[in-house]
Amino acid sequence: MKRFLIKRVLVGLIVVFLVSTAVFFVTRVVTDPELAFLPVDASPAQRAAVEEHLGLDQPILVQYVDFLGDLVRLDLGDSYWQPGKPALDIVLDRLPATLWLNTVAIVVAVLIAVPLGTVAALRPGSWLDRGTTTASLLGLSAPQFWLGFILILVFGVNLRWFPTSGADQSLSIVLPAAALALPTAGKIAQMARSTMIDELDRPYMLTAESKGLRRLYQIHHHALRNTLVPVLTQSSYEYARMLAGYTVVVETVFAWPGVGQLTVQALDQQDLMLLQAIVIVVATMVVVVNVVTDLLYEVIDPRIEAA
Amino acid sequence: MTERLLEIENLCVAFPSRSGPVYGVKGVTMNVARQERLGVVGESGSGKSVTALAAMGLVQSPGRVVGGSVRWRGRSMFDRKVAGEVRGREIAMVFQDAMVSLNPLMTVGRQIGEVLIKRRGYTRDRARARAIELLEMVGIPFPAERLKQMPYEFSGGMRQRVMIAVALASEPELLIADEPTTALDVTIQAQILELLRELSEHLGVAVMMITHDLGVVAEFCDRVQVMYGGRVIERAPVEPLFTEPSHPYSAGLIASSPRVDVVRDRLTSIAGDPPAHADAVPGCPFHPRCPESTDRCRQESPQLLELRPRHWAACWRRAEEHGLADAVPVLERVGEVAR
Amino acid sequence: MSDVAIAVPTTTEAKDPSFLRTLLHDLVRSGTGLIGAVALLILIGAAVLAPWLAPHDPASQDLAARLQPPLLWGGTSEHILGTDQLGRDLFSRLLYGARLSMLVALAVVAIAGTVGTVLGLIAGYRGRATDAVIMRLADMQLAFPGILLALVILYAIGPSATLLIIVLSINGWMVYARITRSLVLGLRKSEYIEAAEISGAGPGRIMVRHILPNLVSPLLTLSVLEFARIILAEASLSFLGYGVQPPDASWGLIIGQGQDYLNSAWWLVTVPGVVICITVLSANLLASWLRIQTDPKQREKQLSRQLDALVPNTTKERT
Repeated sequence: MKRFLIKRVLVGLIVVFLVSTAVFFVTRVVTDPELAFLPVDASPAQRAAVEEHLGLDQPILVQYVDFLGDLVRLDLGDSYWQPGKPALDIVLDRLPATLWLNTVAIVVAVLIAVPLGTVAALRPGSWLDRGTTTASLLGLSAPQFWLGFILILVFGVNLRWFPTSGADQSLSIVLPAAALALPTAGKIAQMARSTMIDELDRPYMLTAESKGLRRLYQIHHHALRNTLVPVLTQSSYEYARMLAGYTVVVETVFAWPGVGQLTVQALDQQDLMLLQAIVIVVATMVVVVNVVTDLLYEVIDPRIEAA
Repeated sequence: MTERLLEIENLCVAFPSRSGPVYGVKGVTMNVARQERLGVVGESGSGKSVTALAAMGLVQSPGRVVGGSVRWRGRSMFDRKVAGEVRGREIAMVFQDAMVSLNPLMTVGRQIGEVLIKRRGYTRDRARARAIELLEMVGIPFPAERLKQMPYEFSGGMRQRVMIAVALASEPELLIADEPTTALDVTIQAQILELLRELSEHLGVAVMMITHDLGVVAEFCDRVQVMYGGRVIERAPVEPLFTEPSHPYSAGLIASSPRVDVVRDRLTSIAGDPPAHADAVPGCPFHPRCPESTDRCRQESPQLLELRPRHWAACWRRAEEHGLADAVPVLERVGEVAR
Repeated sequence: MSDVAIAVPTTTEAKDPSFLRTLLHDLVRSGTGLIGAVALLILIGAAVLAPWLAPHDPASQDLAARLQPPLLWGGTSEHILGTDQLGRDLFSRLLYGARLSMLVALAVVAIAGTVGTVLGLIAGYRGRATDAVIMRLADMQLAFPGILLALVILYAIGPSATLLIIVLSINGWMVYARITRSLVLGLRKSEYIEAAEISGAGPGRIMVRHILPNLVSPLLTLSVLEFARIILAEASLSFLGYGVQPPDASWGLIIGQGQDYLNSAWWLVTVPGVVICITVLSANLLASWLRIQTDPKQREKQLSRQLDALVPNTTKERT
């Protein structure tokens, strides 16, 4: 188990390293960060001055080595937009809001989707099954940001049940979490359903039936446990995907003060340091979630290690 | 005559296909008596496994029982209530591949224990003790530790023994073993068979052994039933079957077995292939490959007739020879499923 | 890290020629699969025929007619889906937007699909070192925060449809590689392939004649699913302003441009989203149907109704 853990962590570190390198080159080589500070008609001298100030006049490899050194010391540079403030701090400041939103969303998604999906598999062709499948497919076909707008229109503007932006009120989280949760719930429900269908067909279920065990017992003690393992781990990976992408659009639509909204603000403000920090932090989070999931999976299904 | 435990009459099982329903089993009538060891022999597609499943009422979709009856001590196994009572208490089944037939994510102890607790009313502690006993009985060393292990931690032969232990936990009167040794090495095979024989003798359990291996049958069974094309084509006590097979197929099967005591240059075999399902061939399912087929064989499916005491065969040629040529061709009654 | 669940074909025999015909026949008789296929065809057709179907030039502005609602909500037949803040006809913009959105999706599927499949074939066939390298690369890239990096790259280099295609392709090849590789590994073990190898067939010939035909169905299903996913991804990126750029239109961009008018001109946000939904839903329905067709077990279940003629089904399946 320890070896497995060390291996996964090592791979994770390499991923973070690769992502950091990628974002470093994109923000320095592909584009010119100094342009954010210069008026359009800046003279070459002004430009050179800014470059020196930002440390961009050094050869690129030197910059890279410096960057790596700073990275290890968790120094991701200062923000351009908010000079003097370390980019990392700004990101970490916003991180809890994002984590809170996404965690609520994934929990809601799992709580709705897993029971619906597994029960639908038990009664194939029934109303419940068809309804669940239809709802799931509809849910996962909707773009998250658009879903957000629809929710705002219906529940925020027309019915006035929930606030539609910001995070100040206790009910503020409802609509953004719903926008994140519904498409994910659709995916998870489909997954739970097909996993359950597969498990019910397995030979060991026939063995259980041949033992004369009650159907409910068979489903609960044999099929269900075996279904939950892959379903929950897949849900975990969906959580990572949420953090890495969907949250950006949803936070923007709802003006939720998290890392996603920060990303768009950083893009608007042309703050490449901040963008760099965001990408590295999010990559780290994704790696952490993946490693933890892999670990849990390994614990629950010991065949993985034995294989 | 010893009491008949399992009585199957005119069993028909159909499967859907692109070209319409096909029969995996057509008109099978057979029985198993108390404490006897019956072998059911056939190639793949002969319907032997489907028959075994039907004996427990376990024919699964897409297959369906479309005719006939299966009775356990007079009660129909197609009645869900009856089947639920009988399975795991009076009949138990051992499947071919223990790797997939055991729940990979559940300890062996639990898989044995659930039968004891749920079907035989044991308490958890007694169940644990009994499970250890059962593992010992099937020859697994260090049973107390192995209770907590998962199926993948056992070797192939050991896993099969675990399956047998699971089946025995029901204290059944009949054990149906579907190719229990096919997936194992020959040496392990011999051990498992020996184990089954001992157990059946000591515990007085009847065994219905499904296999394609004549060696297994010769070694283990009292009575043998040969299946072909979804039908029973011969049935006899083991020695008469091997020394005087009636049906040309049985004779061919026995002749083509490699023998250690006779020197032969070539192995004889039966030309052609077995039918994919019961209706693939009109008349007698074996007639295209039979060296003795007649016109009647091509047109009418022969009935299983008692040619000599306790020796049955479904062959028009043999029927004529024994003066039973007036037998009426078999009519499998489809559409009546006795519940 | 999730894999699309796709059935591995269990036979390596070449598909019989009537395969396609029977497939089409089954499609017509299916319910939702047909709906999905037809809807998708209509949408693709509309996209292709946009220049002829569009009643107006999507870029032409008419400030006198700005923010008009759709016909059913009080608008005119001149602009059946209403107009935006610059007086541009929404229906025309949606048609042209369809062109671009679908073009991007198809291009990404083609590029990522080809690259991914080739890499998967190589990994599966070569094995060992090559396999390890390619798969490690795929696994690591799966852990990248794809949309974020895409955003940064698009911002840094400057967003354009072309760059969008490239970035989404780089993000998308891994699924194809994984699935192809596992299919190849499964097929290689079959004795049929071993026999072909022994009889002297070279790897190229084996790949083309024996392996590729079996990859068609699963990869087709995967491609349809990926098409759906890319439509959504492009919509998100264009919505944020870093995908397709004005004056071009894409569905996501139209929503992005219309979001300020959510309260007053709700149709600018709602209608394009509905169109995206329908497109993605159709693709998903088609993919579900394809998956069932290529999974032998599922097909058997469909066929079991045949037996009802012989004996009514009194046993309820499952519970």
